[in-house]
Amino acid sequence: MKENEEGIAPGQALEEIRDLMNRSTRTYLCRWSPLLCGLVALAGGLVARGLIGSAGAHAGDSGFPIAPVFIVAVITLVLGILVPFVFSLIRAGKKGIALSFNANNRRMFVTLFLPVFIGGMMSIAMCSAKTGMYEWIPAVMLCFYGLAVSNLSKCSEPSLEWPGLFLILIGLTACFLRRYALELWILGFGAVHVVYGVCLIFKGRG
Amino acid sequence: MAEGNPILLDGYDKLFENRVRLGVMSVLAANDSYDFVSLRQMLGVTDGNLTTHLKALETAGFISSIKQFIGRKPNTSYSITEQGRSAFAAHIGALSKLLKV
Repeated sequence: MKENEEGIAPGQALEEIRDLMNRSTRTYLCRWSPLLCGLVALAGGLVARGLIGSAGAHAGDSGFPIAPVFIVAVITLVLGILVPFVFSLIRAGKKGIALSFNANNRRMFVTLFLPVFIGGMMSIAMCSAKTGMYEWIPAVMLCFYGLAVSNLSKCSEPSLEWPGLFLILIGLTACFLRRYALELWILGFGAVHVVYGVCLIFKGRG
Repeated sequence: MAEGNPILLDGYDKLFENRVRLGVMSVLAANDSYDFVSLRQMLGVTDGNLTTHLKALETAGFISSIKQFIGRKPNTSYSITEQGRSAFAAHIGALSKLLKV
């Protein structure tokens, strides 16, 4: 077997393939992230459900425990971002991959977080409103997050299209069925994340 | 030695002999899609060089490209085709076989 003229020896080629495949992978977040995020959302949503009570004291009623629910929401938000992020860092560290913040990642983060930030600001504004706007908050969150996710499907991960659409659909449903806003929030942020997360993990295995 | 042994070279693809093409295939095999600039940075080659090799791979049907605008900047992203994936896998298989002999 003659050596490849301007190419490389088979052993070296395999070595380079392995190296490039490892280095090039955009493992900013590992594939467990959506599942972890969904579990945090499920936990947070259920705690909020418990606080509000099963008596059906739906949002907007006087005596709505806004302060404790707000604290639970903030904790859920922080954990929802932090847990997948820290988990990804640990996994990447074990695999010896440096998490690079390249142009693609930056674009991805702006695409995701700009609509989420706007939706978040609207939600906070609704929290501070004296009149009963609370029941609209889950719908706003779901719609903006759904839009962000379905946009993200265009610039990075095509498989994000259907969870994005589901989130928007659930968000719009929450606009009309405001009595069940929190339940729909749990369905959207919890169940959709978990289902997508499980699919992602199995897709990676297969 | 391999000249008289076609089975040994089964799956070996001449197109992947070049280092840049092999690099492109490695990166695209590991990622759903990759844009031109990131690809160039990753492989450390010049624009013209990369373009030539990308064209060769695209002509062979191993990769596909999508041209789009992000803001005002044109952006071309590449992804591996099914045909490319199986050819690349076969090539890697052939390389490992060669090493074992």
